[in-house]
Amino acid sequence: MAGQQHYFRIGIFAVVALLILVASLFYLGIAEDFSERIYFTTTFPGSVQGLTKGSEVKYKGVPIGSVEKITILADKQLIKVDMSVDPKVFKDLNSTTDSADGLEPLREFFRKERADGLRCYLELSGITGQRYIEMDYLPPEHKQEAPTTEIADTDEVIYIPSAPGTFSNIIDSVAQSLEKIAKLDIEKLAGDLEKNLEALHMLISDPALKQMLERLDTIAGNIENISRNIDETLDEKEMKKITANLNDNLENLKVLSAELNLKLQQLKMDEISTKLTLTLESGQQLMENLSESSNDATRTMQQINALTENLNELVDELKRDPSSLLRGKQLQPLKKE
Amino acid sequence: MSENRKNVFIGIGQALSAAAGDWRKTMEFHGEVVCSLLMLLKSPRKLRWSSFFYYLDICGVLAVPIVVLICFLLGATMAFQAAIQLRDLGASIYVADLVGFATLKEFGPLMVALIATGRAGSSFAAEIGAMKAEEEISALTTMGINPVRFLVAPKILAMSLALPILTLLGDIASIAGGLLVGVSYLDLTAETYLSRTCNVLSPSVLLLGILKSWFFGIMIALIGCREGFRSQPDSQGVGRAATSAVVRSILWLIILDLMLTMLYSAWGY
Repeated sequence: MAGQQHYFRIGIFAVVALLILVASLFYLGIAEDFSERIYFTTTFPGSVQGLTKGSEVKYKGVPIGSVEKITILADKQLIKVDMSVDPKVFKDLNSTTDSADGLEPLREFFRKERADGLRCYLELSGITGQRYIEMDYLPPEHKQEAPTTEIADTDEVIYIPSAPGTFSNIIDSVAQSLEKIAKLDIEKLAGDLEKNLEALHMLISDPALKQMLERLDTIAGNIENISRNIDETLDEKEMKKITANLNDNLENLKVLSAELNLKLQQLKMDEISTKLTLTLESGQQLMENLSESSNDATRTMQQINALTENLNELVDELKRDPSSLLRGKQLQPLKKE
Repeated sequence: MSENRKNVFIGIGQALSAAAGDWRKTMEFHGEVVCSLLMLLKSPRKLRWSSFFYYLDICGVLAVPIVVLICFLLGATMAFQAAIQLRDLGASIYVADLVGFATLKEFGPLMVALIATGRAGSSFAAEIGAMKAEEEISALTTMGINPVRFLVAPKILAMSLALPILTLLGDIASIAGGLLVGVSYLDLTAETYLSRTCNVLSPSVLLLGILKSWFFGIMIALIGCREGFRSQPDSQGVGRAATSAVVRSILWLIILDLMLTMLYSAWGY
């Protein structure tokens, strides 16, 4: 009886272990190694640092497969990335009898989507430097661009062109902004501005101009007094008096005008005119420079604004999901049916 | 040359000679074990199946509760330590990665092997040592029975089967321990934790860990039996053999673990 008990225990031990092993292997996805896959390939002109065999492939953020192989096309200076995708993730697009493996509708779907702007983007997965391939569509303004066809499709493998990812766009935007800022000749602008200010200062500090302004101020004061007197007293007597005053003023104005003419002649108007012309030209040049600088600065600010918006989105995303800093954007995978 | 200096050199020479002799005997023992196993492969009926099942029961079935308990607690401890660090970074879900990988690749097989060393390795050494003290080994040889095939082969085969199974159960228990901490301390749902574990682990990781434990099982049985055969034929010798079996097994477990880990890394796992 003791012997029977001993064999019973061993039997339970072996059977339970076998069941657990099989269940664990299936749970960890051994069935996927034997399931049908659909194959894609893409090429990247730049570095694929962080992308390795087994890296995730996502379609609009949903994990659909993995990277199978990374090779170098030396003659074209491109990196070729082969991917395999689980067709079961795509609902209603498989399990037909149109082709030998039943995956032709899915392949046709991807060919159509490629024509509609489906591209492979190399995206960063958190701060670890790991990357994954995101299949997504070009922005509407770029959809008309003809896709590059580095590799021809085969019956089994579909070529999806690549496009620069979000991170690459941010880097390019910053680089362009910095390049434009670097092109501005700040020293020349500052020198022109200084010269123009000096010329303006000389013009303003001319004594003749100051005297003219004082006289004009006196005349303006007299005219103001006359106007006030007219308003206060409108009877005949006063009007006569005013007229007399007006005559006196006109006489004064006549004398002043003569004096002014004489003074202006004394002030060498030609020289002033030349100076004024030069100053105006300098001012015009300054305005042109400023206008050009302003345009450059506006474009730079637009670039920086775009960059800031991208960073704001990144910060918002990190606020919502801080762990995405380490593991990247994670969306709920589609439930398999 | 003084007498003392002569004695020192004599001592070194004797130690080296003894080590070389011990090394030679160990190699002879291993050769004998390999030949016995090959012979059993040719004619399995010559194996003492009752002994095999006895040791499978002793080393495997009866070790299940302690293995499951220790691995469960180890998984929970690992998860708790990781949670303290990762929760501040908002990366609590990575506890599942850490516990899953560490358990399946390293701590599961190693911890189970250490438990088996304490239970089976010392037991084998003491059993064979006692038989040697009682001159049962000599009696077997006199009767024309190969003691290695009679005593060692069932133990090695039982351990090579029991340890992978125990490792599998230990892995499950350890992940369950991590799950408990993830759910209770990190407020993760069981589905999220298990889904993450499933996403980051692959069948190859599980199978390579189990393969590691297969090597560990054979090595523990070999060292235990070898220490039993080389023990002094007295009660103190039996005690020393048991202690030596445990110490040597732990040392060689760590060395073998390092070698296998390097080998797996070279293969890309």
